[in-house]
Amino acid sequence: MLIFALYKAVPPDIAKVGTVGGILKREEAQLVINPHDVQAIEAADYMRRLAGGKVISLSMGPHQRVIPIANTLYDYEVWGVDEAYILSDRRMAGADTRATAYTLSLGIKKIIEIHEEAVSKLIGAIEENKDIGEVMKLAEELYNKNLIPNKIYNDKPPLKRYSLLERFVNREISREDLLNKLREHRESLRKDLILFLGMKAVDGETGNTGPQLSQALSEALKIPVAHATYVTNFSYDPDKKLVRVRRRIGRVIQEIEMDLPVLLTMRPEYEAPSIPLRRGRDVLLENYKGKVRDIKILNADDIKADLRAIGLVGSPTQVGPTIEVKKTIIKRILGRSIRILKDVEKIKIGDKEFGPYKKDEIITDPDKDLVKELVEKGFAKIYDYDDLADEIINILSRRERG
Amino acid sequence: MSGSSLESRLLPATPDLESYKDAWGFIEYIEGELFEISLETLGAANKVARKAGMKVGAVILGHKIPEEILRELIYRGADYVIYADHPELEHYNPIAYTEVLYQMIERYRPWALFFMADDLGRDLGPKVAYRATTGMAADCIDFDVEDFEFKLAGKTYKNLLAQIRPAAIWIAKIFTPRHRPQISGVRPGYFKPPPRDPNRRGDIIRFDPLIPEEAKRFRVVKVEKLPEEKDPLRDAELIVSLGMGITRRPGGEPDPVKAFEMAKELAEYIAKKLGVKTALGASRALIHAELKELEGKITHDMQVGQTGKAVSPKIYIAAGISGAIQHKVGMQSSENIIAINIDPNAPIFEIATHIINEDLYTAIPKIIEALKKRLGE
Repeated sequence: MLIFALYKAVPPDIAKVGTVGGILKREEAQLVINPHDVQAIEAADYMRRLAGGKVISLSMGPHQRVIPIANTLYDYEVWGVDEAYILSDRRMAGADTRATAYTLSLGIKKIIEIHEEAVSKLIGAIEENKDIGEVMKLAEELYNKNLIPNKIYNDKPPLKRYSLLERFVNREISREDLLNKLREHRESLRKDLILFLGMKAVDGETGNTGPQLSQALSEALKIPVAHATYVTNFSYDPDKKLVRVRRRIGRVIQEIEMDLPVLLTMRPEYEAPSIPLRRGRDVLLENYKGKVRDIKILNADDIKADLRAIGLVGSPTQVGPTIEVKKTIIKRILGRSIRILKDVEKIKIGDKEFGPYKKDEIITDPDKDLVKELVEKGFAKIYDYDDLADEIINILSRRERG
Repeated sequence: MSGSSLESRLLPATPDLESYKDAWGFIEYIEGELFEISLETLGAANKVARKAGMKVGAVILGHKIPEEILRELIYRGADYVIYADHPELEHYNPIAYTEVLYQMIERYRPWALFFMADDLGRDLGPKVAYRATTGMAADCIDFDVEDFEFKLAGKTYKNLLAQIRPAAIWIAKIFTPRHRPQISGVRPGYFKPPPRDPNRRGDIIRFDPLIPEEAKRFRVVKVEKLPEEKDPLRDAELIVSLGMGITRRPGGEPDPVKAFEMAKELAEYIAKKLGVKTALGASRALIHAELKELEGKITHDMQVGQTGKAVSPKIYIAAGISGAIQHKVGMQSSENIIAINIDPNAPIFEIATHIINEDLYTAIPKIIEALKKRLGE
């Protein structure tokens, strides 16, 4: 089974990036893995122990800056990821969550296709009645590239004698059986699929990408991808190929069953159960050869992206001008602000000019001379607890807000 | 380059953009119950619909939805209700719900669609947005109707939904200029549903959905209902919140129990005299201080702020709360903020409407006294 663990590279908390010479600029700061995505890696690792297969890490971002993170994921607890792909292309920059989901879905499709093509090649060789030595050579090559699992080809005991090709060589299965099993495996690649994401990214804070990717993948793979967000625990039934999740929706706890393919976004509280469920040989046969440490970079052309649907141009949402949060509010400072009691025309005190003021107007921080003038003449009063009490009563007696 | 050739490089726009009208709120009806919180989407829809000269629609999905609930949505501010009632919609199923909402969008063409940014809305809204080839602005705290100059398209788009979301001390306005509906998540606590008016009338429209066979890939096998949570903070019109200031008193001995009793007296007095709902709140710092003498009095469900609850009462009294940004994001949309703090530089004063630069141990009794002069004992 192909198990995808998706992650985002994010700038570290600027507060934590102190250096001797001062603070690093955000653009220069080394990126780190989005902390929520650590749970995605952990869940993927657990899934591999449960069902076999391989864990593929996938991210979208400038590869020079994502590679250092991708490298660390090979050695994550317990086993880490088996392979790493990065979607990197200037044209992908500035993507909103929809454009991101679209791009990721095509990246995943491409990776699946790479595996399908490998199996097709093998099927082709057998169909053309190539010499068995040649077929075995091709299988070995594909196996060493991590493109076919142990159940198809393996060259070492104890798994060797259970592999399809070995059984074919030993005449335990017919050529037709072999071809059917290979076709079955090829078809399973886009069906027996599971994807894990963190529940949101700390820089964008939307949590959109998971649900949007489930839809994008449904469209790209032409097979509906069920999803569940904010998952704290899940289990997998390998015989029925279904994922069980217990999650909360408001005041309701739902227990759900989903057929593969499935996408889950994991809550930070998620912890993989520590004891792996041993299914022995079945799981080992599903596994691939091992880790491929050369990270593969895919660009927009590799994944055959519609260039109008990726990056900033492919984003339906656009960010307008940002504004600083400051409301213009008339403050009342108890003991300092004044409340006007009667309408006041323009007045001159010394060389300063004030007004005019209207009844009940509040002056937040009035000039001292003005206060003296107005309060003495009975045109204003210092805002005090009585005024506050009046306001509280007025506000709460108004039936509805404006 | 002309506008149209610039546009040819962009994600193709929703055809017939101008034909999309009205603002919809997605109402959550789960396991036979209306999620009251989702009525806040009608508050958001009302605000923009009035500005844009459009109507407010409420959409609701479920099975055997009682007619009273459909009518209730009219009373709570919807001009019309569109509902789909089908056995496959009995439990929340994102595949089925997405397809049904998409069919409704295709048929009725709403200009805006609001989801609550809660467990369900966050799970469903983004998927629907993708299905309908449009954008999703998550977690918005306010909305407006504005023009937007979209440079990549070389055009200014008129009367769009401005989707306002916070980012630290900045707020960003998100626009969905070329796609419909404009879909947003509404953060809980920022919009009140319109007042209930049983004299309101509106159309209740039944929509017959086609549920795809594939929806069966997602199956709800069991549901459990959690006991109803009381959330006095959410419904309160006045909240008195306490912070660490109750433990520091330059002019005398601090007595947190006394401070708590004073705050309680104030809240209860106002509730009794003015017939409004009031509640007590607390800052994260005070809750985490776990003062022994306040055990059982200051509890976790009283926490206001980023990791607590977002509230927006008519009056928020912050007593001895300095106003860390984490606290502010949870209460800054209150209509009035009365801040009591002995520190003249307390950041809470920046957003306060009423500033009392005084010891809370003397200020709270003075407020009660002034109220009693007017309202009696």
